[in-house]
Formats: sequence, structure tokens, C-alpha cells
Amino acid sequence: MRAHDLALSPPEDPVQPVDDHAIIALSLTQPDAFGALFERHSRELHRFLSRRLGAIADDLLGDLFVAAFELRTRYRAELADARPWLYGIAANLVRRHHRAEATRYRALGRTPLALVAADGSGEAVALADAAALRPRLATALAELKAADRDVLLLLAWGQLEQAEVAAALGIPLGTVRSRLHRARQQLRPVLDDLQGELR
Amino acid sequence: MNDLDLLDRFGPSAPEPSDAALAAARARLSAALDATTPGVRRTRRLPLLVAASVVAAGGAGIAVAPALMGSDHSIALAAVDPLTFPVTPTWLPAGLGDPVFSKDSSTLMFASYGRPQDGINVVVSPTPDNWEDREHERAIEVRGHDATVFEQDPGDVVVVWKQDDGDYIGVSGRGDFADEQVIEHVAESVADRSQRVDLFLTVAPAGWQVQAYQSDMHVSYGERGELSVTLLSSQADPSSDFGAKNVHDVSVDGRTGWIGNYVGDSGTPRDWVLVAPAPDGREFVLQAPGELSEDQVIEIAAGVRHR
Repeated sequence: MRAHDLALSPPEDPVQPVDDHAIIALSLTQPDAFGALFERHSRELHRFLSRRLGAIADDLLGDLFVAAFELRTRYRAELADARPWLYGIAANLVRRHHRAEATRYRALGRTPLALVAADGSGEAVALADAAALRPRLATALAELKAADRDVLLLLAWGQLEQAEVAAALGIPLGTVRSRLHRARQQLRPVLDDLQGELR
Repeated sequence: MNDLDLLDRFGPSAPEPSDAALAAARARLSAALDATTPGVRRTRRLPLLVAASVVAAGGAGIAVAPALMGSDHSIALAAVDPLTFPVTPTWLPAGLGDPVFSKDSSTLMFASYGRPQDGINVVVSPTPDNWEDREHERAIEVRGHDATVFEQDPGDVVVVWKQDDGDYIGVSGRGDFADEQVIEHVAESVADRSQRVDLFLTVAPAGWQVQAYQSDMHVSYGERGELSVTLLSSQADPSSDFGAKNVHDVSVDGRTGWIGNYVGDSGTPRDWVLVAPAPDGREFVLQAPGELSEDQVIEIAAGVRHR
């Protein structure tokens, strides 16, 4: 067994000892160490890519971690958590496929959902009514500017803080806020309807 | 429920990644790791992350190359000069901030300004071979030297020239800074003035060279990084984080830390692991070969400097 096979195997007994930045630093001299970052974050990043681009996330996940590995010498250690950095690389990859992303949302917007309120209770009916708005929400996402969508979805699906989004995208915090404001305004009608169904 | 929660709950969903998808991505990364050091013997030291389980499985130390030891297999310590990056750009576009210095296990040294996607790198290399796949290359003059400017990695703009001392300097711009005029201006401003990096040792094994560094978090010495210092940003536990045995407190130049060993198959203590704060209070972990004595490891730790 080669050393990195060990590092790249799904750990049977995961050990979570050190910050991401220490792993990245270690990988400068011991590249095998980088495998630990994959095990720590790959599922989450795949989910983000998959929500935005569908099945090609399978291919892009490898691209993402190879790109991260190649960029590791320039990783800045202001944050111990590498998620914002990895999400920034993911957002770059998504940007190369922004047409496919919009096409995916439009397709989801045309997909009828078969919804049944399971038990007929008020809460279940409200949830089903809200879920019926999913196609509209997907269509609205397709209409956003790619840069505004990046900010919005890094916050909503990447669960990053605004400052982390700024770091991930390399833009000022004020730009994050203005893009978020614009995206929210554009989605306002469908978000208000969703809120209304859930009340 | 706020807007972001609504988007998370009612936006397009995604299935969990399949085992096959994860395995394929792992294989791609594994191939990239293999390609990093073609023809170079890989280090046998395993990452901190798996140190505990490795120790449980028998442990693996890293032997110090004979050339790094005296004839009696001892290792002497010596004072070393602070690490420096050899040149300084005296003009940079506004907003790039302080540089991050790094050196990988080859002979390349980087000063990185800004972000990887939108930033400027100054690279020092003993050969011109590190700039391949040049497109739209043309000759220019930089600081009285023949130079070339070209594009690389679609979008990057690079200027490379050879210094009088034989080193090659490359200045590259990416993203918002991939502008030929800007990069040529930065190149023209590069002065032969060294910059001190942020993390370094003042004491190291005599004759050992820096193997790699990333100035704000990591530095290693020896042919294969046998001795390394990595900054920590959270408290480390000796046994669960590092698999260390024989752990006990030590005084590092008056600052309290702890030291322990990795233990080999036969129960013999192997490499050292020491955690202590640097003079500025930032905690670091020092990993050192078992050929050093405990006192020597503490002496090296006392010489760790940050900022």
C-alpha cells in the first residue's frame, strides 16, 4: 500500500485532530496529507455542485480537489477552516458552466411535481403547497445574474457567512451585500409566496 | 423561516454522492498526488491526521539521511539566519495586501499577493523550465535584461527574465490582474532586496536546508522535511491529535508546552512531537526526528519565531 492510499481511503476511524490549514501546510512537504481534506469536505462540496449543476458534479468534484491541491501553495491561512476557499474554487468551476446551470433551473421549472399532502393535516397541506412553488423558485434562480446567484447560493447552500463569501469570491464585503440585496429583490415575489404558504 | 432557509429547503435538491463518484474523484486526486514528485522518493512520514491510527498500527518514523548526521550519527545544532525571499516588487496595484511567501519541495520560491484567482505572483526559479505552454510569446526588456511576456493557463499574463545571478524571475497576473501593462510595470519594479518571511527558526540542525515553507503557517528542514514546524490555531491534544506517547510538560524558553514521541513497532520511541507557544503567543507543533535529543528539540523550539 502506498502512503497516500492510506490517506485517501475513507477512514474507518476518523480522527479530526487539526485545522484545515495545518493539513494544507503539511501537504506542502507531504502531498499525501491533502487526502484528509478530501475526506473532510468532499460530500458537502459535491452536494453544492450537484444542486447547482446536476449530474456533472460527479466529474467536477475531482476537478475541484485537484485544483485545490495545485493551489495549495498559495492558500492563505487567515481562516483555519478551508471551506470558504474550497467553495471559492467550486464557484469558479460552476461559473464555467453557468449556461448549463441556468438550463438546469429552467428544466426544473418545467418539471411538474406530483405532490400529495400525506395526512391531510393543515401543516402537511401547507408544506405541499409551498413545495408546489419549487418549479417557480428554480425558474427565478435561472433569471438571476450569475454573479448575484453565486453570492446567494454560497450563503444559502454553502452555509457560509457573508465575510466568508467575500473571501471565497475575492470581492469586498460591500459587494457581497449589494449582490445579495439584488438577488433577494429579484426573488422577492416567489419568496413571499413561499412564506405565505407556510404561515 | 428567512429567505436563505427557504432557498435551502425549497431550492433544487441533490442526492448524496454515490460511492462510485467519490471513488472516481479520489482516484483523480490520487493521480495528482502521484504526479507531484515524479522520480522523487516520497516521504515516509504520514500526515498528522492519521498519526494516531498509524501509531496504533505500528508506527512509521522517518529516518534521517546519513549525510545530515555526523560521523558518530549525532546531529549538531547551529544558529541559522532568518528565512528571506530574495526580491521585492516596489510597485504593486493597490489592494493586494501583504504577500504570502512559500517554497515547495522543488527549488521554486513564491511571493503571492492577493488571491489565487485574482492576484500577482513573483516566482524565483533556478531554471526557465517552470513556465511551459506559453502562448502569444514576445520579447521585451525588463530592468535592462532580455525578457519575454506571454500568456499561460488561459488568462494568466507572465513576464520572465534571467537575473545577473543566474536565477529566473517570473511575475504573473491572474484574474483582475492579468493585464500586460500592469504585470510589466510590476516586473520593472522588482528590486534585489530580500524580504523576511513570517515564520522561521533561529536554531536548526547544522547544515540542514529549508525544504519547504509557507510563511504564515509552516516550515520544514532536511532532505525530506524531517524537521517541521506548523502553526496551530486551536488547542492540540497530545494523544488524540498526534498519537504522542510519553507526554510531559516542558518549559520552552519560559513558555509552557508539552513534548512526546511517536512509538515504533517495538515500543521504541521514535520521532518527537512538541507543542508550545512562540514568543508572540501563537501555538505551533514541532515534529523532529528521534535522532535528536529531547534537549535539542526544546532548544530548536525555543528558537521558533513568528512575525
